[in-house]
Amino acid sequence: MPSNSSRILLISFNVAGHDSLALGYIKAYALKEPTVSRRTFIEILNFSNEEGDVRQALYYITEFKPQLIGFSCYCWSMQKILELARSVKQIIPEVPLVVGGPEVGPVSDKYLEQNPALDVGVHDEGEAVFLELIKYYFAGKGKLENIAGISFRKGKKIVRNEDRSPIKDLDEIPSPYLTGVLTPRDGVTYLQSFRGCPFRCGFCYEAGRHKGLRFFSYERVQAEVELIMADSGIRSFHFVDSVFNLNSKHLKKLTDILCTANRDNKQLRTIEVFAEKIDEKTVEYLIQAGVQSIETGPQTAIPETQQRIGRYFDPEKFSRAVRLMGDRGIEVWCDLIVGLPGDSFFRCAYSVAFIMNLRPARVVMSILHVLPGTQLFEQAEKFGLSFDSQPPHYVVGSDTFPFKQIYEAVLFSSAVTKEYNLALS
Amino acid sequence: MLVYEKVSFGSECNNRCMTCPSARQQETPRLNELVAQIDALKNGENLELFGGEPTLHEDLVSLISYARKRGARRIKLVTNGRRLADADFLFHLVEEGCRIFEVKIYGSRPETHDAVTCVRGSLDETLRGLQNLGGISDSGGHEGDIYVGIRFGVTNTNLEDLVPAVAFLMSFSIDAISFVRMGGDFPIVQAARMVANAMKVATLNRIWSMCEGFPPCVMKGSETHLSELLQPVAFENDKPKSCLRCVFAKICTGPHGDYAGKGLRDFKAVSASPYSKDMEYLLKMRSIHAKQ
Repeated sequence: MPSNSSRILLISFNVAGHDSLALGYIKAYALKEPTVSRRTFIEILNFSNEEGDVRQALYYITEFKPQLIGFSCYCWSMQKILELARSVKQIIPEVPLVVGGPEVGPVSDKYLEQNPALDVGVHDEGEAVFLELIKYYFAGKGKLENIAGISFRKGKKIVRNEDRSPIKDLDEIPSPYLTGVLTPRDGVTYLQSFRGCPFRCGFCYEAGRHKGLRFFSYERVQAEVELIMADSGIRSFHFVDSVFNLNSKHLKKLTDILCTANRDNKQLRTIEVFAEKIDEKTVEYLIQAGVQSIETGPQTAIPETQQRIGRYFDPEKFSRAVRLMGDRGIEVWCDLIVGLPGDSFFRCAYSVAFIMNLRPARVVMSILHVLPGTQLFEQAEKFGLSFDSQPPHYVVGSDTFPFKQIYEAVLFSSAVTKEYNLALS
Repeated sequence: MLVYEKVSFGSECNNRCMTCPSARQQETPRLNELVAQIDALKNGENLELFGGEPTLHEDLVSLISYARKRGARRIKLVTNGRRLADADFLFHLVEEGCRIFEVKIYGSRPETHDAVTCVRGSLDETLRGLQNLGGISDSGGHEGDIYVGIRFGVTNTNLEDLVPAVAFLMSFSIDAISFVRMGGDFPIVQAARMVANAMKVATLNRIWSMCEGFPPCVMKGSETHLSELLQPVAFENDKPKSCLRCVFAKICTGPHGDYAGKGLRDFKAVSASPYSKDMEYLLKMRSIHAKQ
């Protein structure tokens, strides 16, 4: 790091061993600007959310002496980030603290109001916003009032600027892998071929964001895939696309790219698929693409609940898809959520029985988090939904699912899924 | 919730439980007979090794190995846990593929447990077995790889010990507890209250618990823990005519046969329940289980 460089720290708390792809994009986009890349040193710090200690991060910050800090915030990491931000402000109050990510985006004003340590909240996609913030803080360019897509603290007031349109051409964001910002590593390398989601599931923040999908060019995806395939240390990698089998044309194109590049039988693991759309031909594509395991819903097997949360579910097509994939050796992980409005203890138990009967490789249970920006968050009253206003926003009850039943359903499902998932290979 | 196909090891046992359902002596099957049982299973995916005490069989490890090679994905051992006090023996079982254990217990003290098993020192050995299971699940390359369920036999001699026993069992690495009514020689309503309290203690300690042999009408407030609702069984016992008016009529199996003749007046039709709206899904669950 040149001694006259400006120093920026980007921090995330993730599942142990994982790098933040989001921060990789932000850094790669910022460094595209020659004035930034010449004069700025940006470091990404990834801490384990389970083991990472706030004081360990604080120590690093005091050693690194950043002049700007950005935090990537999720429901699971927000409490740690707030704790860290409070301590940072005590030690180096002059350093602006910027928060962004799905936990903050939809409610950034509220976070600024309630947390005096925070200076700027990013409403949505962070790449272009953060670059403008770098220019503002380090080159003195422009005014915070003119940066679309942020809320910021001005004296005792919180100012909310207008939202910013997302970047239309995703190829404007350089690849964090191709630029060397992130180093591909075995099992924890995440690629992305598009942003957005065609579905509007009430519990998912992706649904509450922009309508429409935006794609990286196939040439760009191909270059990233080639880079990973050429790395002999990588045995498996992932795509973070909301739906890998978005449509047959897209799936065919990705399959061609993966199939052509995969000379070393690398495995593509835990991609998300829309199961009801899977037929024999799709399974064939997935196999050609090197897909070893997939993750899919249904979150609940209760049709009324599915309808309430705006999710499409066809039990027959879903079951057929799980069996088709399982028969061809693809590991299928089925997800269920405990606490959805419309469910109850026994409905949840039925969902578990329904899924286990399909014999997926694994059943993954989680408790409903009522996330900011989701339909369930916005319309909680309509669903009789109560939840903790503080992250990770665990559900406390709904009109059909009182807390006692939710608590019992969590214990029940944890025990039965542990027993189920102990299957020998 | 998981449906297991059963492989019987006969009736040979190192306990002499007063409540043992297999009091009738059965010959201990030889290895080739056990193999034949496995070969004859419909699916062979989930196996429950039970009957007498399977750990006494000299070919248990070989049989587990055979079942695994034949495609078994989950092998559950129903045991009194005494032989698991031998850590090396337990390690062999786990290494060969037995990862799911259901350990039978009757109390937290020798006065209750050993009084049922009729073997002095049996509780001590069972607890050492549980301790070893916890040790394996915490280390030795099998972290989180072991499932330990407790099958707690509820008798007329251990009702007062149910709550203390649950509190005591919390110090072991267990995943779930099932309270199973053994015998019909004690009032079900009183026992139900004791079991419900014990299940509350388990829930407070974040351990899943269920009970068997207690109809919903005697377990108001604990319906979510009724094994017969969650793992519906095909059979139905004698029920009083008044049960036809019960909201659980279509799903309740009634009291076990050994109780039915003695106290049918203990059972009162449930006229309203917060769970009646879930009946459709309880019946669907039964149909899923029936097909397996």
